[in-house]
Amino acid sequence: VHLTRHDLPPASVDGAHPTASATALETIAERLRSDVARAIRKICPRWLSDHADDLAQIATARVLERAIATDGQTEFSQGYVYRTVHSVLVDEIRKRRRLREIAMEPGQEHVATSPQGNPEGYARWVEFRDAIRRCLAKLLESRRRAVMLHLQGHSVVETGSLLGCDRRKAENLTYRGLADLRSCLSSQGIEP
Amino acid sequence: VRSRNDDALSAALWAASETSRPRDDCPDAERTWRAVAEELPLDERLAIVDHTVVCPACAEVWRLAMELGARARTKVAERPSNISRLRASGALELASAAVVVFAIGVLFAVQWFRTPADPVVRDPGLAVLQSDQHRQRAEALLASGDTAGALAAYRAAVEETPGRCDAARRHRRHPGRRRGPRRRRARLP
Repeated sequence: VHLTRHDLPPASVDGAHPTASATALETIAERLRSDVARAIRKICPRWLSDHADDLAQIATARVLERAIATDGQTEFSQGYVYRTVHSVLVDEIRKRRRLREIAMEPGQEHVATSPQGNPEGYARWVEFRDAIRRCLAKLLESRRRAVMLHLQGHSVVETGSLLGCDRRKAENLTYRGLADLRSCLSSQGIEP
Repeated sequence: VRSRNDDALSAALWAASETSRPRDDCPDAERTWRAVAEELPLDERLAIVDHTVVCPACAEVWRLAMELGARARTKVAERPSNISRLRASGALELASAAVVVFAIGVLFAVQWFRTPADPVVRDPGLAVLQSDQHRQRAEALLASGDTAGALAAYRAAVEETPGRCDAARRHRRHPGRRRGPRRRRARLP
């Protein structure tokens, strides 16, 4: 949805939207809501999927409130809408994580995230997970950044752009950083 | 190219974020989005990348921004143009070099075929007429009606002209000698 001031119904003299325009606003809201809901479903974690509709509603309301508050003078591109979706989702994840950390007993939540079904597999998985963080911390700063971005899924070109260096250097940093990371993991007896 | 090994590393990294707790110094979602979209200055961007290394929760926030296409939606023009792609592949430099070489070749060819200058072939003295000064002198002599004097003046002018009329001088010393295929084909005296 690309929401501009032309999409919004014209305000009346006293600032309230006339009733005839309420239908138009609802149409826009519905269009926006479906777009937001699609974005939420795309990235929402599985454990939060039951609340996807609520999150879509919150994000839609936030965009519309902002649009009305600025009297339609600001253009709300798709980038803005998706940025709002991201913000709403992250806020919700953080809020629930904080609550869950308090409510659940230590270690209890790990069981659900382990890809292995048995305790041994889970123990190996946790060891592997923690070893990666330890080894990442030991890498040279520039290599650590490049490896982190690579593991996040960025391409070499994107990594270079984010780190402010050219493609060749980004490739070199990523390659050497990954070699260091594997070497570190091997030294701890861990093979990914 | 990502290997399966890298995928396993990524999966472990992401799994860590599922159980992590946000810290007090975590940047808000808006700043992380702007970092992914490269809207933040480099130093602030790098600070957030460094933070994601030690904070799995923020690593997840970064990944969510990526999956929502923060970069693509903010930087639509990131895709390189055709010229940029050619430049990156080196084809543009090769094409430019080829054009320069071709142009130099054409210039050499033109100079080569122009070497036997026509005025020298027809009359050695006419080569002198290339300059305005000699043209005016020739016209003055011809206007006076002194043809023999004009011819002598032409020859003297040819003798005095450095460089340009070497061929003309050689022609006058050795009138029977011909130079160049065009003159042979023309069978000029």
